[in-house]
Amino acid sequence: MERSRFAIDTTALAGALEDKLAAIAAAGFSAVTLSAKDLVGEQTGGLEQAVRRVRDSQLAVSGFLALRDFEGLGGRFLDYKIDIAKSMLRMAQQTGADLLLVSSSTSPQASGDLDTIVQHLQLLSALATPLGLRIGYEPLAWGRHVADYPGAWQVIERVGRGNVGLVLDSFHLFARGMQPDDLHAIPLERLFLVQLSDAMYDYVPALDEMVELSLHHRFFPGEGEHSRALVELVSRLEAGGYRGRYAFEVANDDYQHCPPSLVLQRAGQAVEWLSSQLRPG
Amino acid sequence: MVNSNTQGDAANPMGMDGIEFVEFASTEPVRLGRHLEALGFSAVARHRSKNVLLYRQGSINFIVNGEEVGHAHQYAQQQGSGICAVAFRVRDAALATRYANERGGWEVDSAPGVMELRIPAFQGVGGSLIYLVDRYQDHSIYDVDFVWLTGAEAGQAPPLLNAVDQLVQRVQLGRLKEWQDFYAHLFGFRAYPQSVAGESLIESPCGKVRIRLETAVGERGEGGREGLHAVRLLAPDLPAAAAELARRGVRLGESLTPDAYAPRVLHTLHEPGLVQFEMASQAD
Repeated sequence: MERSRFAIDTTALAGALEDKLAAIAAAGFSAVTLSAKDLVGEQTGGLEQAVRRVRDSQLAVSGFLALRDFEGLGGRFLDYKIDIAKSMLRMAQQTGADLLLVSSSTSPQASGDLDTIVQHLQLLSALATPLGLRIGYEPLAWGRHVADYPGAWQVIERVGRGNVGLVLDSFHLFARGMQPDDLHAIPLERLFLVQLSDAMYDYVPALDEMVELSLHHRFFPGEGEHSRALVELVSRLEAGGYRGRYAFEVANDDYQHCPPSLVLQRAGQAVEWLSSQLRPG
Repeated sequence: MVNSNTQGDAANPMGMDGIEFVEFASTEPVRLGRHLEALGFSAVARHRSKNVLLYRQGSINFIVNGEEVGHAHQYAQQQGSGICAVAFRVRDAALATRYANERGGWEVDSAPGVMELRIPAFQGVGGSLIYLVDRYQDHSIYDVDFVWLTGAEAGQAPPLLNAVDQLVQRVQLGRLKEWQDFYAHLFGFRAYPQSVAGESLIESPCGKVRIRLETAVGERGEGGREGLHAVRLLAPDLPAAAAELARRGVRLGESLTPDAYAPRVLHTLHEPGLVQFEMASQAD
């Protein structure tokens, strides 16, 4: 597989935005997924400077992370979340991203009523359209009402908007004990991004453990216990006609203590490994 | 939650009632004004404090904004001369605004806009705005902000062009459905069943506003830029209008092949560097 099919998520890397972007480009990757934190956390020059750094890097921005706990809220909490959504959409647009990732709500205040969830995603769709952005809905394995891909696809189908699709994160798929087979009902053109990571476990973790593993202990594909499942997942997506990007979504505390070049070397190895596994024979 | 539907029926939740005006941002307002005059428009009012003129012909209101500050100026700087806003007539702007906000309309501050009067404004395509106007009967929005030019409308011949037939919106490759969804979701537009590949004609529930969505060639760059890029106007007597415009030196493009939506004769009225107009005969 071409390296251009892969994006690096900046959360895997330590350091300032400028250094992360430079390291990613130097490692031969041409795309990133960015976090809002990368932009607003810029030490000097603020948001404007951060946007300029992204633009200057020439890296494609495959996704912008992440609007959380949006759907299902009511009254002034919904109004508040709409303001946050607008701010994220605006930032995403400035960086040249065309996809805002929206993770399923974990909020105890969020309604589980399907109609409400659908309406709120339609609202996001309308906000995003004039800015040229798409919405990638991602079911967190510990989501309160939507926690797996069949459930998330049911929502997306009901939303029925061209610019609202799914983001598939292998972590959240496997954490629920699901297999690539469980994705059969989802048309691949509605997958806006696929995030890949490996893990050190091969069981279905308890909820609190899921969160801990997801935020701190992910590995690059080929380095953990999900390697075989990842190969099956990617080969099915490729065979089915998925032509979007894969993003390495690899949050790992150890990587925060490594120079970015070393982490990116692992990313490069992951691409090589995946390619070799996918080769026929 | 307030039921915002009280002003319209379910099919027309915004209470839409046509187009009030189309606003042009131009770095060459004088040249655009001359072009409009050649097309039969007259400047009928001038903004009290801004370099903004209202041109009128038949039921068409065109605002030419030559200001060097504000939204129109920003638009012209970023996108070039073009259509920077369109105002939809609605029965009750306050109710329509609330309805739009509840559904994901992106309201923006219209203070730097053309009107001193506060007119609700929403994010439209390519940095343009969609205004909602409910003062269009006895009192118009122009009465507040504009000074009428005396005698401008006296002794007018029957108009060559008398109504806006369609707005033409360019969309990026693959985004036709997204824009159909957008106008349907917020305003209740419906798509015409006829379909030309890469094109879609949508109509407001009041039957008075039509937007032709056209897929631009190329995904980015000049060709791929999204925006409202042309206005199709209706001529009550097309052959006479075409003859008169030709006599005035307006470059009439070839008579276009009648398309699936409008099996009528069409001309493009082209002036390099200015917004594109099309002219069509009245619907049968």
